[in-house]
Amino acid sequence: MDIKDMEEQSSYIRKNIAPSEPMLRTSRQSTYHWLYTHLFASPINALITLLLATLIIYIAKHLGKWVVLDAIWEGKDRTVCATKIQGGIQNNDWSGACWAFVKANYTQIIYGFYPPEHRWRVNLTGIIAITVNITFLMPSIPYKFINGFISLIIIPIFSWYLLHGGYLSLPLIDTQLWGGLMVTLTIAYISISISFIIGTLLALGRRSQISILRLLCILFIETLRGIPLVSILFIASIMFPLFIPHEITFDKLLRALIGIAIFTSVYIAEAIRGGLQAIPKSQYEAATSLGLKYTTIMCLIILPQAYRLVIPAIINILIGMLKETSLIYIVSMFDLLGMIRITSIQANWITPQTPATAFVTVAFVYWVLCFMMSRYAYFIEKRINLFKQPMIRSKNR
Amino acid sequence: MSIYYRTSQYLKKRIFFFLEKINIRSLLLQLGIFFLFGFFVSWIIHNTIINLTQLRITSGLGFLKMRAGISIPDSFIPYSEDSSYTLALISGLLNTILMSVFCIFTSSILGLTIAFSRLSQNWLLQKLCMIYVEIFRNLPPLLIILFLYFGILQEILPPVQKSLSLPFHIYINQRGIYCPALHFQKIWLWSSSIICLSGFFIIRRIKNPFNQYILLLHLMISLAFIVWLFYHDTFLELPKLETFNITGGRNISLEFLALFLSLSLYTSALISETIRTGIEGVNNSLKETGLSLGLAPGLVMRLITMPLALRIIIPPLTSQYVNLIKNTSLGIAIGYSELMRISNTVLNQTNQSLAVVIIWMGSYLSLSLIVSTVMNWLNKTTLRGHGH
Repeated sequence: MDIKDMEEQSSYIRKNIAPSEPMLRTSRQSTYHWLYTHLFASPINALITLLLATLIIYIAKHLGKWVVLDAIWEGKDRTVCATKIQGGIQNNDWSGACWAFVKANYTQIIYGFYPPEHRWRVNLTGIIAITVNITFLMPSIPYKFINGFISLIIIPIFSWYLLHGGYLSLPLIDTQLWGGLMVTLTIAYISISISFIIGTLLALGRRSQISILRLLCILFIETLRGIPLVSILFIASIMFPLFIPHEITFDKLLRALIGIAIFTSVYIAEAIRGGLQAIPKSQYEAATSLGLKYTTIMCLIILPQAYRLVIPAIINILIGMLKETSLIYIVSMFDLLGMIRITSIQANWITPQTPATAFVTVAFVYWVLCFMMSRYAYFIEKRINLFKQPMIRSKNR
Repeated sequence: MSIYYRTSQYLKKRIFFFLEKINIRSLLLQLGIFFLFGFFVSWIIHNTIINLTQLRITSGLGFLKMRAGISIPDSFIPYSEDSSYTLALISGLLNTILMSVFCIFTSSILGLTIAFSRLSQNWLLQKLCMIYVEIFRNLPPLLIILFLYFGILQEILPPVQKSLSLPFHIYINQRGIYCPALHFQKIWLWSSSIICLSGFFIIRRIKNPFNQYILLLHLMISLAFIVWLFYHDTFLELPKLETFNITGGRNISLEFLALFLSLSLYTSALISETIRTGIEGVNNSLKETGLSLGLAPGLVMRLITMPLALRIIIPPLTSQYVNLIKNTSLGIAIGYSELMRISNTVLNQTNQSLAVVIIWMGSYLSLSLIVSTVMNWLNKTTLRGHGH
């Protein structure tokens, strides 16, 4: 029986080409179609859309009025932002943001009480840190090892000495005078470098063959992971002086900084441990069979690969850390949040609108910083995923 | 003779083998680390003892029985300023637990809603939820708390004299929310909760969902009957608005409200991200298989996607919950009397820093341990029957 006979016998086999069907309505790409599928696909969807649209218009109207239309942009003291009852010049039903307050106090919000004639030191530190880190953070620029060494070890030390002073011809500026955005960024930056180093050591310690070291590292990590940062800051500011001989005095800001750094390093250690576990065992074995020492294996073979895997996770931890630097306000040090809090309750600026304005400003600054970091993490993650395929293959082999 | 020779040779071999196995170098290293660590700890203890004697502080737990004199406005248990430090600390711990439970509950529900909204077809809903998540997860929780407390709640809420009055005798003002309080004897609370729990366990044993439902209805009706029968001493206390004050009723303080709202908002953004990545992590072909079998999209979500997604979701969710518990300690910034604030006050009053730090560590560690144990148990139940 050949194919032709089969075709004649079977009624299921089509003998001529079927006419093509008309194009589906849904495949038409038009504004109407987009609106239909994305906003009004079903009655419930349409209802949700309408409700949300009303909500958005309502919020936008009030927020826009508060932020822009009714806001006060110029002024010297609280009278411009206060209503007549409160001793100001505005009508009694007025409510709007008091940007004049931010404009009048922005130097204090950025530099704290750092002496104005020495603010160039802060600016210089900022410029150096930004230029070095832009080259460090761009993946296409080579010499990452040297660059990393500069930006994680040299710059923190250099910036501490430049800001704190007390040597050569630079006068000493006590950390009590530091404040505002400068403190937030300094603490975040120096904590990043310290916690990165301690975190790597802790991760290696937790995976080491030496059982007592492993035990100590596990104990340290698990204890610190369970307690809040506030308690560590209290320990750093109240308990720490008890632990050391009373002749030695540590700077208060430095103590808080070390507290934050150690707290972060524990989380970084966990992230790096995850990276170390993802490195195939054959890599260790190959390196050992070449007769390399432990430090060589770790520094040249394992850690570079592990770091590459965990960069996004580490950046997410660092975002958390940047957010948590604000907690030093609780132990009465004035970072960005604390500074704006105390400036907003000054006698010559206090009005019902000032705290809200102040917090919106700070929120904007924190948001931009954190959002930039999270975008960078996302970018790196996408880049790493491009390289991931060969690694998985080598693992399976 | 030869036997003796062989034995000694054997022993020698064994000893050498043993020595090789324990690796002298590693042993020395371990001993070195041990002594270094011991030296470090003893140095710290030595310094602490010297410093404490110089400051004339006697450590010990004796202070716990002394009169505290700390005022705790929203105490959960009967507490007055004459109570001891122990009671004050317990009250703080209970407040922390209460806040954590409330926040975990709200933020989970809110997070789940937002995660599903971000996966919905509605473009506007998607984008709005994305904006919500991006705003809240990029802000420090402390900032949200302070903003809500000092920036919004304290400024917009009216003073006591001009309290907003809502239906059901609820008043809102700068001191918080006043609502009617239900008073009853404690024994009835315990007995009813025991009945509820036992009913829950009976229901879990019944397989048929319809029977479950019927039994649940019976249980509720009988519970209501029991309550009606025995709660003669139950009464509703309504808050009364006077010229300068509100008396009676239950007061939910503004601090509680601010901390609760801001932590719920913050954590829900993080939780929704966790849930969304979990749902998106489920292999798409599994969902398509479910759809091609003729299951409705809702059923696919309930029967196929969620059980698989839970495996990805639960481990990071555990750490979110633990972080939430740790974040309740931020109540200290606005004066909500949770453990951190009260123990800090105790520390300032008595200078017993060592004891207080041990109490901190113990309480927070055990709370996190409880949460992770419960979540691990939950994780095991989700993995059950899937070849794990």
